[in-house]
Amino acid sequence: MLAALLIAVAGCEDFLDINKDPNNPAEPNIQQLLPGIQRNIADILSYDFGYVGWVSAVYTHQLTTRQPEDGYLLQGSAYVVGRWYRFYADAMKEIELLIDIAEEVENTYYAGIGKTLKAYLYSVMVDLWGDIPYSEAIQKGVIHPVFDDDAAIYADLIALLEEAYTDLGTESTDPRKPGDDDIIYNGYDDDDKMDKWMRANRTILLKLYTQVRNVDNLFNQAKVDELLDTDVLIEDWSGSFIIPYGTSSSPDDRHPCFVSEYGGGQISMYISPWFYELMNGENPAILTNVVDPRIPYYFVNQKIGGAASENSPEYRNGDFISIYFGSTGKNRDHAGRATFTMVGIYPVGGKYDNATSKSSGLSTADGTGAAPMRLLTYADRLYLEAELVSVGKRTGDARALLVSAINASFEQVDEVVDLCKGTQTVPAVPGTGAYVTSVMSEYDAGSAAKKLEIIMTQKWISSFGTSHDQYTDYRRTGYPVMFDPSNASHAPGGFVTGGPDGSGPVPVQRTRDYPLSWPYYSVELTLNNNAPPQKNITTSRIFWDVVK
Amino acid sequence: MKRFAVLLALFAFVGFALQAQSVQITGNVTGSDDGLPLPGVSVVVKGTTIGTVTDVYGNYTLSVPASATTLVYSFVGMKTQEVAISGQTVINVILDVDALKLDEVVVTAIGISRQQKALGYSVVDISADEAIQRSEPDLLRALQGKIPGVEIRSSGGSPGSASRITIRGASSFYGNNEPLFVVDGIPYSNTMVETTDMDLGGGAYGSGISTLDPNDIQSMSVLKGAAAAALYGSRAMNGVVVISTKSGNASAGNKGMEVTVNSSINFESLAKFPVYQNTYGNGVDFEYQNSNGSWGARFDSMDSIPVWNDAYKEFGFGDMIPYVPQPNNVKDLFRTGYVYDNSVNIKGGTERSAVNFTASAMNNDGYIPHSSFDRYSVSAGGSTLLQNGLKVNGSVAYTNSKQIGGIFGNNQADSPEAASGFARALWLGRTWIMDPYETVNGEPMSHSPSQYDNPLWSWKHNQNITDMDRITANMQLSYDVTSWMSLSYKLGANTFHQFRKQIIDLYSRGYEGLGGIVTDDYKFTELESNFIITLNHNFGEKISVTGLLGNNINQRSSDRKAFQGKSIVVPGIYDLNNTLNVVPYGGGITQRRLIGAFGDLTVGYDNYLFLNLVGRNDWSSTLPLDNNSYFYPAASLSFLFTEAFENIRSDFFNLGKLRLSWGKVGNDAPPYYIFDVYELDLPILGQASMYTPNTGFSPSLSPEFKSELEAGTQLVFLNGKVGLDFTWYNNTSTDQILAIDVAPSSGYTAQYSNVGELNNKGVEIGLDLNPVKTFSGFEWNMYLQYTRNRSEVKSIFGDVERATIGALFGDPYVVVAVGKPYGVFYGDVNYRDDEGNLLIDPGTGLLIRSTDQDYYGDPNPDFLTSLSNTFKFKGLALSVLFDYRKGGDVYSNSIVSLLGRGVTKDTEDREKNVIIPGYYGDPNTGLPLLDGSGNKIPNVSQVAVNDLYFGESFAINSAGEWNVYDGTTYRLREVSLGYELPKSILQRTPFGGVHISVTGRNLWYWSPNIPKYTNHDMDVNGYGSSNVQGVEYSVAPSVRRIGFNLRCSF
Repeated sequence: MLAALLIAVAGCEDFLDINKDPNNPAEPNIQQLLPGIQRNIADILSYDFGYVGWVSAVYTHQLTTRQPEDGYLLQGSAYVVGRWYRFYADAMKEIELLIDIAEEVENTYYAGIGKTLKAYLYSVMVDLWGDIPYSEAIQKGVIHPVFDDDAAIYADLIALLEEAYTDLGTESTDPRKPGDDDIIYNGYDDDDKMDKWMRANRTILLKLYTQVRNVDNLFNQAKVDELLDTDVLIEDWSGSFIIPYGTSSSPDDRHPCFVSEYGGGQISMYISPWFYELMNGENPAILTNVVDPRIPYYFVNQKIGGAASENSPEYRNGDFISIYFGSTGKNRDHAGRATFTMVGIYPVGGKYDNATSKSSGLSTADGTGAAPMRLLTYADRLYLEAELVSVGKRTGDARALLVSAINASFEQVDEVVDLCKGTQTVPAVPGTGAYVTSVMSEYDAGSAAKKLEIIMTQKWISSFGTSHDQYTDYRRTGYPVMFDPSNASHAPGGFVTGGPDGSGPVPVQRTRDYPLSWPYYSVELTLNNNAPPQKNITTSRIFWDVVK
Repeated sequence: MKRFAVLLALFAFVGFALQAQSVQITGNVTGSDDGLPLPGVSVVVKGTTIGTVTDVYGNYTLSVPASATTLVYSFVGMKTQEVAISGQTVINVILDVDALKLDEVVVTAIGISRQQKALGYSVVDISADEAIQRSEPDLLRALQGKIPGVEIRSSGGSPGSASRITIRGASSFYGNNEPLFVVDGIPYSNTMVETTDMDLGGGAYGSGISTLDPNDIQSMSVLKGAAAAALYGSRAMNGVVVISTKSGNASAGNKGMEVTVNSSINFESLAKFPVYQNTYGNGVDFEYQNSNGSWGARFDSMDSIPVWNDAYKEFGFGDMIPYVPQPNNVKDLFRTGYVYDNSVNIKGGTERSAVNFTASAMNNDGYIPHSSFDRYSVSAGGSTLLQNGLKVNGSVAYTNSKQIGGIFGNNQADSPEAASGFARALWLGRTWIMDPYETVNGEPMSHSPSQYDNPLWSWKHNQNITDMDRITANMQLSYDVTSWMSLSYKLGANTFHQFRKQIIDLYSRGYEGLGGIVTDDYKFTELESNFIITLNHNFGEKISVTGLLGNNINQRSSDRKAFQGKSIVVPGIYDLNNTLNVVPYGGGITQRRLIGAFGDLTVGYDNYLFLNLVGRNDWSSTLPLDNNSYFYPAASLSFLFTEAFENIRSDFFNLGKLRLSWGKVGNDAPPYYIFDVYELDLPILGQASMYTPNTGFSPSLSPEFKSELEAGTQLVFLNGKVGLDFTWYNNTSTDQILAIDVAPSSGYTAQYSNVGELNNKGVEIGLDLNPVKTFSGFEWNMYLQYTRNRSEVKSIFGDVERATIGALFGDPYVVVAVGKPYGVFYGDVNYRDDEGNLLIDPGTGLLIRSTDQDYYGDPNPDFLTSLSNTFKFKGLALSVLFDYRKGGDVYSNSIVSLLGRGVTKDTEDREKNVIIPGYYGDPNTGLPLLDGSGNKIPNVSQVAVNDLYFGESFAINSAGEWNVYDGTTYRLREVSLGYELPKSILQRTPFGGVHISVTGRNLWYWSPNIPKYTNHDMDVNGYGSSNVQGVEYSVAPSVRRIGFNLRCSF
């Protein structure tokens, strides 16, 4: 040892040259970056507690929560708003890196995928926050990126999607082709080349144009017509832009919301009674008496046949048990791990509701968690088309499109179930016939506004499991009608009933007004000298939020 | 550097031969105060290293060269005495007590011994007796309240858990803020290996110093300031604790053999339970519910409740059970623990050689069932003076420790490992029956098994087991080349291997009920080489010069591998092989090296003025290669003005000394902070995956520095009846290497850089009073200690106002913020009007959460003080240590839970409504609502008492500002009563000495500013030795111990 040290001292320079990290690679690899990027996007937007999908679902009244975000309280310091850092530092930084490397080695496929993902993700961020750092974000050496105008970012993203489309259609000089590392589409197919990515790219573009349909200088009628006429769009479920999850618990490949809801000691996702009642035909204003056959795929009751709940339930409707939005009732905070109705097989890969109960509550053994994160499906594409036709931004048959969309939505449930049912015996969703007939008769009888409401309401139902776009759709169109504690017809005198089998009236209130956008992440505001002051989210609208 | 190598090689191979005629001198040394023999007195031939020490009977024998003229007798606490040799062969000496302690020798940096009078900075010397508190197996906790300038905080009552020690405040924003521990000249890693984030789960982990056997400690010095510690180099920024062990310091000349046996037993219990209310059972709004809170029906209002679940029926419970309080359900969870500590020390030798062996066993079974900490240690050391004058000494020590404890952290955290054994333990529902706690299948039973694991079940099944082996070894060669120059070389190794297994058993709420095991294997090795040339010369009568040149080479390597196995297959077998899936759980290897060259020069003038200059240059492997060298100097001055101007000395004023020093210490970066890397991730759907870390590194890092100005004085009055030691210091750390938070839109959440300035100012006072000392042998000593440190963050980075040290679920953030003390709390607050009145939501009558966050707590105490009283009479000694901490906020999840769950008497008075004082406000704007004439509207909305403690109010689910309590605490920390059997009784026994004592620790405490009946101990801290202090999430409460100790020597 002494000798070793002596020799080492003699070679002082070498002796001290040991500071290269032996544990981690110094060079990135595009094929190893891609799966992480895709998985990060899914996680950030998912329903997992504290993630974007979760609070979006609360604000579109699909879920309810006991967290402070209930009642429209949303703080700049909130954990969920803090996902801001995951967008930039976890997903976007890697996307930019992927694009840089791909362009450097002239791999058009990876460049095209990278740009498509970048455009998609930035558009979601603009939809949530409005003006955000874009042009100067994630630039080496820039630590105070400026906040760009939201509409200008959208214009740029539209151009970026076009650029990506060209890349995807150009044969790459770099021999590496996306394969299983592309967990969305398994990449390059010898016959179709990057066909699925190209269709996803066009459909994302259609979505952006639909979202800006009321913004004159961004909406491009000719382009919309071209997209729909040439029909290089997502053409069936198998082409849907979805990010898969797996069944492995270690390393954990499962849907994060499945893991936390079915695996955790407590649950954080409660089904909104407003959503349930509407699907169950109990909403007096829409789809009255039309029971949605998808209910057992969406939600799973834990107390079967009127079995007693662990504690007095705030809301009980048959075996469906939950809590209200904005509740200040005394029964809101009771323990009910084995009581509350949970998210089911369709949204998170949980249990199909076959009306069996377990005394200790559902666990990860009751599902697989392999439901995908659906970003843009074939059904979604049809709803976009139906909306465009319905508002006169496209010629066509909105009614037929809606029927196709509802059919695709039902089929989508079966497809998701196939991916994640595991050993469960799950019947196919009963035919759409009767349901579509009922919906369409209400549609046919309705005004133009009602027709749009029905389209948006169907889209909202179909979306369960992916809610960031619904939050956008609601702010754009005002549909579907959301539960409002201060609306006398929703909560007379500030009270709701507690459901037919609940424990009586429950006081509800809205803590703040509807959030028209998200507050900025307080950490960003503190650290970025170019950040604007925190905004008032009850008045601060996204640029596309214009009433025409 | 090459020249050093040559010199070393020469040194190792040159033989020395010394032949001289010698004379044998024998004698006896006694003390003037009691006339008893003094063992251990150093007897040295003046100007040489030839010497010995007296044996237990005060006798010595020494062969002195014929040329020798003078013998020097020195002993701690006695005045050094020189006796001329003029032909006698027997020299008996009586040493006088040195009330002024001027000649007392203390160990300073790099093992240098210096007399107190020569020190221009504060060094605190701690004797083995103080270091070993028989009721406290943790070395650091045994020192709590005893050293001015030092703050020690415990992390709860789980055996073997880490304590945090800081000297003169924190010097680094994020880096290590604990002092360097040096044992027998070799650094002793005090790492706390954190397997799982301690807020998410994990356990009350121990830190490295827990493997050091207190029984083997001979003495400790604490080098507090930069000037004192500069010679130690890079890691001395936070001060140094220098420990000398018995086995590492065997000293020759102690003929014969002495055996000392120590045996002690202590009983431990939870120090103080909350006082529970037993009037109301579980539920809400005075109605019974099967809920966590005890806000339900009065016990006298109903007879029975449904049994919680079917599991209880297996144990003879019916469908209904009586609705009655369980007043002792918390108390009955715990047990009486114990600490057994047994050790044997054997020392012996000849004139030229000595050996010292220590073996010990410490077994601590905690008051929490199934928790324990066991430590077994053997160490051996020896020294010999060869015929050729080369002195060789060395020691080796082996320790095995095993810590078993529960899983802690925040039970609610969104983490698979979250399953705290203390999730409910102290705030059990008042009607809950905790035993039986498991079904026949081994599943946990409770009122709601999905929410928390029954603590009795949890402690039995969910465990952290840490097994640690440490070996330290060192060897030193020293040689006096001439009377004024000596050389020494020391090489040491300190290695530990820690193996941890973290088990969450099948059926726990953690790991989806499937069970999981994490193994964490950590190996650390440190090699240290020191070559030192010492020069010593007097110029004339008045000027003395001591110089030192040295070279230090240090290498630290670590290798860590952790794995996680999920889904336990066969119950009861806790091995990764018995899990379905195993994945990596972190780890990696690190290596760093450092080369240092240093010099130290002390010039003394006429024994009253001493100037000390120190300089050190380091070359570190962790800094950029082309810029890896850095230098730092220190200077200090000691002036004994009572020696310089003898006319101011009197019977009243005996001694006055002024100290002044300035020093600077530099520190390098952790390894691998220079180059950006990409990290490999677990496979995603079978696909290999990598990602970019959120923290960016920097190719241009430079060393961080801390400079410190220190001034102090030592005054002695009335022949030592009054002694005052006062120190003032002001230190500033600059250019800290830290990952500074950056706007996430930059793509990084943090970026390493040299930034920030942190200032600490403080005073340390030690007041030593000896008011009574009678001829009959009665002595009374009082020692008052006072520590006050004020830290202030001067700047962070550019305009950055605040950076996060720990983000604990977003509320609180533990931050550094410009203009604030280190580590303050920042988080959610409620709206107030411009006069500071709370705004009330008219809809609820409760508070309104502000959209902005704010600062709301400071964990740094205003000051710490302690008073120790010792009474001695003949062989009897009684000592009492009382301490007081003023301020120091604690974010306490325990207090919040006790209140929010409505279980203590604090919330018993509840059959009424209350109005929160304040004015109505608009929840959307955060502004007061105004009436028609523009006036604020006072709140008149009544709320239930329950609402004050659950919701947007003052406890559970409230803004973080309400979860912070003032940590002011009075404490009776230690009492001990000891008796040394008189020698006369022992004369006909084989014993040389017998000492028996009774000790008690943490016997009483009182925190006046917390809810009275919570009885929470504000001393405990949830984050072990990490920088996040003053935050606790359901930490195991502190311990009280009472025990007996017997020490015999033969």
